[in-house]
Amino acid sequence: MPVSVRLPTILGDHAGGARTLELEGGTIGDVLRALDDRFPAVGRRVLDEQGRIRRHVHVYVGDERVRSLTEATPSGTEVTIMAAISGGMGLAAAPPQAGRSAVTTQTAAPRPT
Amino acid sequence: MERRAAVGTAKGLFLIDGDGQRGPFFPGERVPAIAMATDGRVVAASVSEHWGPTLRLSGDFGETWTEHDERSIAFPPGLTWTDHWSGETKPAAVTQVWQLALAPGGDIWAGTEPAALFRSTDGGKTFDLVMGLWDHPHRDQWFPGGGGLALHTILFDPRDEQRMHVAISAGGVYRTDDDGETWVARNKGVAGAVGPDEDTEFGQCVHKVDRDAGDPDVLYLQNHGGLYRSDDRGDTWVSIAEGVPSDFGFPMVTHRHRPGTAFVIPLDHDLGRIVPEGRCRVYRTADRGASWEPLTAGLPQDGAFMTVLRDAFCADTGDPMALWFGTRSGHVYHSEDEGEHWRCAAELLPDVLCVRAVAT
Repeated sequence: MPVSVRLPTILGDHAGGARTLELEGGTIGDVLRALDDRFPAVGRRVLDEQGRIRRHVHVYVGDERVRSLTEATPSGTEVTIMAAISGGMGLAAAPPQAGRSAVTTQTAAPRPT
Repeated sequence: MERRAAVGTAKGLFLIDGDGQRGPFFPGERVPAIAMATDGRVVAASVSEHWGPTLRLSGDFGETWTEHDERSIAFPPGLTWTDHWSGETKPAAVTQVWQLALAPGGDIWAGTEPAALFRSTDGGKTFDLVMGLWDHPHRDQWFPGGGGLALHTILFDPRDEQRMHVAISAGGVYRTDDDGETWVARNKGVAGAVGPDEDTEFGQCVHKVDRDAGDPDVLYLQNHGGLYRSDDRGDTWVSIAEGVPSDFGFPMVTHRHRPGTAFVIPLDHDLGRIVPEGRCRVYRTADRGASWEPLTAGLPQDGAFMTVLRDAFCADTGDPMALWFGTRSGHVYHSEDEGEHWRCAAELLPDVLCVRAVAT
């Protein structure tokens, strides 16, 4: 089933400059694996080596963001791959612990003499 | 003699040489690991927070770069590891390369997070997981440090290509004598950092290890609290922490030519991780750790609240040897007289994660 896949510019640069690709696949997993087969430098940026969508990559089927690779992609579906709005977040960053105040009072250490 | 440094930062790679400073290469990507050789080969590992890790290769000291389309450093399908922070067992996927090392014979070795060792025999196009270490019965008990469960140190033995040491946070030091087939924990005498047992066989949060210039059996170790020396290839360790203002720190750098000589940059303590008393000091031992002397000329001695990470300090290949280190506040310092005098080679860079240097 033909599916249209839109890439951000930074990924398109690894697909010969293409911004849109026509790929085949009945599920989003099939489509992304087809992407990996055709353009591995794009595929590895979207999926890790165990086939999972990377944490800070958003994949949309139509207008719906999906994380499950079993999501169906009927013929004519538009798939959009985007970077999440998470550029300031380090990979090791952890959310604040629940139940604790996010604000604490601290004083500057005395300047050494 | 021309000296060249490659500086990996939180926002790309920079080159510093006689022509000045250039970069960033791979802008926006963290560059936690670089290996550099005097023939111009450079291997750099970067991480995009969005698009994952990438390995890049250069043959001209980093002026131009290539990358292979396919994944180069990757776990085989189906492998898992247990993250003891969360208690979850997860599919094993490389989140970051922490160490790259060019072996004398031409192979490229990589240490990763989650902690594993990979080897390339084709110049960096493909890497194979070293199963002897991955299958080690201790692996399920290795506990991640705050930065992650990382294999961050790879040391070759110049006399024996079958022998190698690696260090893992927090797993400790492991040695192979048979080219990676089997591995033994080598931490006797190193204080444990992640549990109440002070005499544990493994699990130490080793920060960095380096090998003596004169005697390959002699190793120096900066622990998460503690400085140590081994005279027997890691079989046993003794404390060498007398004479430094703090035994906490990240890097350990040995002299490239002079036996018994090593350098550290102490940080105040685990919860602070900045240079003590606002003074940036490199400490040098010239007697195998029996004593340490501070090296301060040219380094800020007032109001300096710097952090130097484990791979952000290095010695180059020259003779006389130069030293380089970078700070998390974006300075790079350079000494051409083995630490006696320093100058600021770059400032206002992003957070410096690693520095590697050669002299040609």
